[in-house]
Amino acid sequence: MRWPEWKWRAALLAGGWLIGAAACGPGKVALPSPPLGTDVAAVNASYQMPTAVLDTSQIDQTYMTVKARLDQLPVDWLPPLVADVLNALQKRLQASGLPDSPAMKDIPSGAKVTSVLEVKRICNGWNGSSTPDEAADGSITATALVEEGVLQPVAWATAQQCQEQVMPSSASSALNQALTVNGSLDGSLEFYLLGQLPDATNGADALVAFAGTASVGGQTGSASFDMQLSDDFVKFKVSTDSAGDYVVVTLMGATLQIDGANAGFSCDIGSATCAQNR
Amino acid sequence: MFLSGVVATTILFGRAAAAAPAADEEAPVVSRTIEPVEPPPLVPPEALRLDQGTAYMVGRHTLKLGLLAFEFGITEKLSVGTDPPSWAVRAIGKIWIPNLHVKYQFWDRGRLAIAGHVGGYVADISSGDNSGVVFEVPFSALASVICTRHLILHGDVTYVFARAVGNGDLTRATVHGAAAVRALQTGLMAQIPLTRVFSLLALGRVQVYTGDIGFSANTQIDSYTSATLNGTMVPAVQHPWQVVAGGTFLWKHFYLTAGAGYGNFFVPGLEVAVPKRSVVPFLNLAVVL
Repeated sequence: MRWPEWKWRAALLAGGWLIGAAACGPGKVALPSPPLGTDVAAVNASYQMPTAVLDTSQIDQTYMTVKARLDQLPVDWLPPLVADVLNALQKRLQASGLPDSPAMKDIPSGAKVTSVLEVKRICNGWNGSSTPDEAADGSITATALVEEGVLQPVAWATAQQCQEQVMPSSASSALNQALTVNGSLDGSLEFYLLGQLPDATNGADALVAFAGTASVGGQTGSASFDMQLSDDFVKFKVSTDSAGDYVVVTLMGATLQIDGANAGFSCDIGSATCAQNR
Repeated sequence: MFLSGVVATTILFGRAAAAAPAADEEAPVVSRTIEPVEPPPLVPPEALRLDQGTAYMVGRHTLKLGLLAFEFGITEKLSVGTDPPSWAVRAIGKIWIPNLHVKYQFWDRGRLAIAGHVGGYVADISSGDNSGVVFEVPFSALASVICTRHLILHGDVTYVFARAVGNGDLTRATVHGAAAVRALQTGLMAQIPLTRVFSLLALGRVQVYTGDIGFSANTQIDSYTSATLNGTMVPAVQHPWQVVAGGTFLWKHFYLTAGAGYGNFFVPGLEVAVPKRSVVPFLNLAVVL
């Protein structure tokens, strides 16, 4: 018996639809690269190996060098800003059931997710305005990658004329006891995540590398630095000679821990005195 | 149905020319109609009631209430239904999967039957302030061939289309690791009729291609913060498979299929595979009204 023409047409239509559906599936998501291209993993590793050999008899001079560098760095307001930005990433990842720590090797389902997450945050500004105003206060856009179910440790953010009024971090309480600090950031931040992305109660646990312009209290300057952030401390490196040898400095409230290749000192910021502890 | 061709032939008998009477005589003409002959079926008709995963149909104005499918035959060649297993996912996966399917038989002549099956599944993956859905549409081409009186082969090729929309929790779109993704599967079932109502079954299924499920979501976290998430998800196992053996009783008003096998369990209807390989149950009960 001859098949009616309408049946052939319906079959062809269905077949065409099927082939079309197969061909038009979503492509693989392209994972972008961080803007700075800094090897933040290597930078992070360098914090384990200070290269400067400390002259234990000249520690006061080293302390003065460290303190001068400390005064240049935004250790009081950058950590809370970074924690805030990373927290926005954490919230979004958690909402989709995606890992919020590089240590989480898989999402519970066993399925493999590859994704790019971008969080754009309009900065608060300095006037305490309750309505967002990107043109006046700037913005910061953070990016995180999940590759085959694993949160990649390298993340980044781009700040565009971001003006923030932030509370100083607890680690810097001895340096800045003001209730709020007016900071401004314009440039690129690259992160190497050392633990879970911060939730509402925790600070960032990450290495941060910055290149751009930072200002606080109206003083603006180009800057390129890196620091290691944790809930309780901020670490940064200070070059002690022209050869590029450096000490690793840990700021914990009113205390500075200065570690060189051969020795370590604990210094009290208030009294500007140091005692060898390693 | 198959082998239901009717032979109706009228044969005119006339005398042979050599024995023809004289030209002036009227040649007697004998006309005899042979009654339509129904050739004996090659396999018991009851064996062809197996409509789950085959090109055979449930039948016109017939309602089948089964563990694997509720099916209603609108015509002899068209049926609609829904899959209880997908609804039952709610019990273990905390997710509703409303679904509907349509089956149409394009061809049923002689030993060959061909049918198409299209399903539509929607999974709500909303959680908290995030809302989203996953769509899954499996298309199946089904063919059944009566090879011998003791062997009927049922083959299928299935393409599964899946897409996530919105910003819900993607992991809610998975059940015990089984994720709805784009996939191409093929299966082959051998049915061996041993008696009028009982057949042995042996089937194999493999997912020859595993794609991914794409998602894209924009979220306003608060008045200052917005987020864009783009990505793809692929299941942990790329080429799931299963082999199963069992038997089926196809009584007039009650079907019972039971068996077991090994491999990845394919959620019936949804055709998504559970990543962990284990003993695969093969069970279906259905009441036919």
